[in-house]
Amino acid sequence: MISKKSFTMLLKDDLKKRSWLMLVSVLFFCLFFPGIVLDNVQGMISIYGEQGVESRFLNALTYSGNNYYAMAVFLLAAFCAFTGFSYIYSRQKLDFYHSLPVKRESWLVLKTVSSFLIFALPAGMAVLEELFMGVFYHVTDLRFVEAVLGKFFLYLLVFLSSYFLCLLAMLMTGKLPTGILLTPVLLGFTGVVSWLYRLFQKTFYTGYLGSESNNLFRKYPSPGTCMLDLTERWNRYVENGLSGKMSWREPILLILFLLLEIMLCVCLYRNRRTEAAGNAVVFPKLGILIKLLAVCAASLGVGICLKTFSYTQSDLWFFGGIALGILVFTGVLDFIFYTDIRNVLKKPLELLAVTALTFGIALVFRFDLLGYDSYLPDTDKIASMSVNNNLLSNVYHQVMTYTELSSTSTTTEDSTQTLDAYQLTEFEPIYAMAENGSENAALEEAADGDRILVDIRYNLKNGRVVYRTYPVDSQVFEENADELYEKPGFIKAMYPIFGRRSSEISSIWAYGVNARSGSYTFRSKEEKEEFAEAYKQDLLTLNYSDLSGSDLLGNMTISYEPEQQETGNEILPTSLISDEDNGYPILRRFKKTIAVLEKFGVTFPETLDPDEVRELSVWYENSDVAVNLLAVGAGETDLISDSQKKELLDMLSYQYCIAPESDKDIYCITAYGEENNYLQTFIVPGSDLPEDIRTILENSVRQVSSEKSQITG
Amino acid sequence: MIEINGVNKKFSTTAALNNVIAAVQEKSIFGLVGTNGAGKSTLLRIMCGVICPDTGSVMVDGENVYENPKIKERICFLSDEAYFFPNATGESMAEYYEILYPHFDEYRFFDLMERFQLNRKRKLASFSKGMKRQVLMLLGICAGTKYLFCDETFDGLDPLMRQSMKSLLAGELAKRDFSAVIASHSLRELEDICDHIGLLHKGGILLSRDLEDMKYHIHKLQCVIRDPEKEKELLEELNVVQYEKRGSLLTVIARGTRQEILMSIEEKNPVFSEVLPLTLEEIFISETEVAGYDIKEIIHDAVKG
Repeated sequence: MISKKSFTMLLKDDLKKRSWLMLVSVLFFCLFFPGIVLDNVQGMISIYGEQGVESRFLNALTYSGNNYYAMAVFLLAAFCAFTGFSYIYSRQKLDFYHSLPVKRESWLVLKTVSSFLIFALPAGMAVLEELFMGVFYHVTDLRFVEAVLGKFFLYLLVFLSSYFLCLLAMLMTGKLPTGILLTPVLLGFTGVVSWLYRLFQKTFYTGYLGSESNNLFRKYPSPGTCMLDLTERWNRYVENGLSGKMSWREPILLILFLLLEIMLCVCLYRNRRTEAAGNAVVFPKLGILIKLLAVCAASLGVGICLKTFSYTQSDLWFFGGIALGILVFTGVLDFIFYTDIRNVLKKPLELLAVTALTFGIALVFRFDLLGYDSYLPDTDKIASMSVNNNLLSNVYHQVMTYTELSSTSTTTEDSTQTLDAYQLTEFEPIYAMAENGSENAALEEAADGDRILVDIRYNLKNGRVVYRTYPVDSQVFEENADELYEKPGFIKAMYPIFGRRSSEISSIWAYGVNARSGSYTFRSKEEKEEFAEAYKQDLLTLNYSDLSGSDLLGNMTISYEPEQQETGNEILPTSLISDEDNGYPILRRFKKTIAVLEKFGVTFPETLDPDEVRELSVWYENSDVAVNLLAVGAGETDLISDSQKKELLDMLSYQYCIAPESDKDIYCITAYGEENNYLQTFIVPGSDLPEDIRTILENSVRQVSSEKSQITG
Repeated sequence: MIEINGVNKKFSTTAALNNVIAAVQEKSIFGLVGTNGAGKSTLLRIMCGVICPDTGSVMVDGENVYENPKIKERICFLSDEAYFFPNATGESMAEYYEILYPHFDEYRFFDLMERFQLNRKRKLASFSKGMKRQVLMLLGICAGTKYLFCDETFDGLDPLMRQSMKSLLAGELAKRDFSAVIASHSLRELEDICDHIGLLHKGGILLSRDLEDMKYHIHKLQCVIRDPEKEKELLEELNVVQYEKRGSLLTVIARGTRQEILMSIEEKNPVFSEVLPLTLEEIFISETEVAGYDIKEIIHDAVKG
C-alpha cells in the first residue's frame, strides 16, 4: 500500500480531476433536494398554517414517496464508478496507471474513497441544512432528527451498493457500452428470474397457489429490488411519523449484497488481465455464463409473453417464441461481444448449450415433469395441514378505507393468509382431499362442475411449508368438509369472529328472506358481549351441510370498530377504516342468537309477509321474458289469487336465496314491496313450484314469447 | 539488475513471448530491437509490471516486479502512446509524478522544459506528437528512477531532439545508478547509445549480446578469388551467415573475429580483399534472415501480389 501522505495527495488530485462531478453532487444533494423540502414545507405552511409542521417536514423528506432521490443517488454512483475506473477500458491508460508504483487494491480504495466523498460530503451538508430548517421552524423532536439521519445513512448504503454494482459490471467487461449494458442485468437479474419462475408456475401449474401481490419483482431479492423496497419502506415509515416497525430484511439483504459486491470487485480487479481492455468481456468463461443465463431468461420471457398474449395461447406460440428468442438474443450478444456481424451465431456449441438449457426448462414447466401439480407427500412427513375454499364457510372479510380524497375496498385476504392462520394436526380429511386432488391433477382433470379447486397448505416435519391448489371431486370435498367441521379448532379458524374481541364489534346487519332484515349498532360493552357470546356458542354447533341446508334463515354482516388512523399529515382528514365480515350464517336452531337479536329488534322471518309483497316478477332461466304474477300497471290483472300468492310466499324460504347447483328449469322470482321497494330474489327450480302456479307461469311465458316474436317478425 | 527468466505470454491463441531469457545489467542501456509483432512492447510491459506473464518471472533487483510497488518505484515506463490526464499541463503532470516517485526532480524538469522550449503551463493536449514525447521523456528522466523503460519513445522526435534525449540519457548514466531499456525499430539510433542489444523475433530472443561484442564477432568480407576451388574452401572454412557473388566479387558475412577472417582469406591468395564492419542494421537483417525472416522474399511477394 502507498503511504498515507501519497494516498492523501492522490485523493486530492482525484477529487480535483472529478471536481465537476462533485459540483453536480452539490447542486443536487445540497441545493436541489433540500430546496424541494423547504419549498414543500413552506407551501404547506402558507396553506394550512404552522400547525403540524413536523409531520409536513417528515412528508417532505420522502419527496412525496417518489423514487427520484434514489434514482439520483444511483445515477451519481454510476457516474462515480464509470469516471473513476474508465481507465480500465483503455490500454493506453492502463499502461500508465498499472506501471505506477501503486497496487491495484490501492487504486480501488482510492477511487472508492473519492467517490464516497463526492456523495457523502454534499449529502452530509444536506443533513445539516435540513436540521437547520427544522430548528428554524421549531421542530426539534427526536423523530425529525431520526428521519433526517436515517435518510442519510440509508442512501449512503444505496450509494455504495450501486457504486460497487456498477464497478463490478465494469470489471467484468472491457468496453464501456458492454459495461453499461451489464449494469441493469446485475441490478435486477435475480429479481427477473424469480419473477419469471413465479410466472411460469402460475401459467403452467394448475396447482400453483401464490400470493395475489403484484409485487412479484419485489419479493425476490436482487440488488435493484432490494434498494427499491428499502427506499419505499423507509418512505412509508417516515410518512407514518416513524411509528410502527421498520423492516430490517431489506437493509440486511442490501448489506449482504454490498459485501458480496466488494469481495467480487476486489477479486476480479486483482485477476483482471490488463490486455483484456478493449474486449467486450474480460473473463471469457464468465462471458459464456452470462450469455447462457441472459439468453435463456430472455427467450423464456419471449415465449411466455407470446403464449400469454396470443389468441390461442397454444404451445406453438410458446415454443416458437423461445426458439425465436434464442436466435435473436444469441445474435445480439454475439454482436455485442465481437462487434463483428460475421461472428454472429458462429459458436455452435454455445448455441446448442443455450438451446438445450432453455428448452429443457420450458419442457419441465410445460409438461410438469417434476410433478408439481400432483405433489402429495407421505403422511408421516406431514406435521399439520390447513385447507381453504370459499364453500367451507361463506364468510368473507372486507376492509374499506376512506379519506376525503378517495376510498378503497379490499376483500378477503389471499388464500395463503387464511391457510397460514391455522393448522390442524388431525388432518385426515384434508389429506383425503389432497389425495383425490393429486390423482385428478395427475390425470389432468380440470376443475369443472364436478370438481372444486381447494387450497391446501402442508407443514412438513422438516420445516418446509408447501402450498398447492387441487381439483377435488365435489363428493369427496363434501364428505371431508363434514368431517372437518367436527375437528376441534376448525370452526374457530373458519369464522373470524373467534379471533376478535367482543369490544371490537360495532354493529350487525341482517339479511334474511327479506333482503334487509334489520340492523343494530351496539351501544354498550355488555350488549356486544351478550351478542358475541351467544353467537359464538351457536356457531360451534355448525355443520358443513348446514351452510346450504333447509335450517338456514339468513346471514349476517358483523362490523368492527373503525380505526382512526393517522396518515402522518394532520392537515388531511384521518383515514377511516370500516372493517367487516360478511356471510355469517343464522340457522333456525341458533336459538340463543335469535333471541338476543330479537331483543335488539333484528328478526329473521321464515317467509315474506304476503301483505308486504306488492309485486312478483318472474324470469324463466336465461330468457328475456318476464312475467308479473301480480298486477303492476293500469289495465293489468293478477295472474294468481291471494291464496296462491300466500302458498307461493310460504314456500319461498331463505333456502331459495342461495344459487342452486343446476341452472336448468330455473325460475327467478323477485319480490317488491310498497313503492317498488326491493324485498328479495328467489331462485326456484320449476319442480319445487306449486303445480298450478307453474302452469300459469308456463302459459304466460309462452304467450309473452309469442307476442314478442310477432312484433319482431 | 533485471533478470528475465523464461517468460511466456499468450494473448488468446497467439504466443506473444516464447521462453524469453535475458538480463539487463546495472548502469547500462539495453536496446530491444525486433521485427513487427516480435513482442517488444509486451516484454516491456511485463518488465514494468503492467502485464503478468503466463509463466516465468521478471526479477528486478532480486524481487518480482508484478504488483510490487516498492520495486515499481524504481521503474518508470514510457509507453509508445503517451498518456496525459485531460487538461493536464507539464506542471500538473510533474506534480502527479512527484507524488508517486519520491526522487522526482521538479526543478530539473521545469528547467529542461524551458531548455527544450516547452511551455509548462500550456495544455499538453495542444502539443504536437513530438512535443508530447519530449515531455514524456523529460518526465521519465526527471523521475529519478533507477530504471527507465522506453517503448519507441524516439519515434516522432526530430534528429536534433533525438540527439538531445540521447545526451540526457548518457548524462544520467554517467551521473548516477541508472539503467534504461529502449525498444525501437530504429537500429541506427540504438547503435550509438546502447551497450547491449536484445533481438526479439516472433516472441523469442534471437540474440542478446553486448553491442561491441556483437560487432566484434561478425564482419563483412569482400574479396575476389580467382580459383573457384579456393573460393569454395573459403566459404566452407568461414562461419558464413550469408554470402552473395556478383561477377567475381564475393561478399560474405561471417561470424568470427576480424583476425580469424583475415587469416582465412589470406590463405586463399585473393586478388582483392577487404573486411568491413557491419552496421547494426546489417547485423539485424542477417540474423533475422537466418531465422527465416527473409526481408527480400517479403518485398518480392509484396510486389508480386
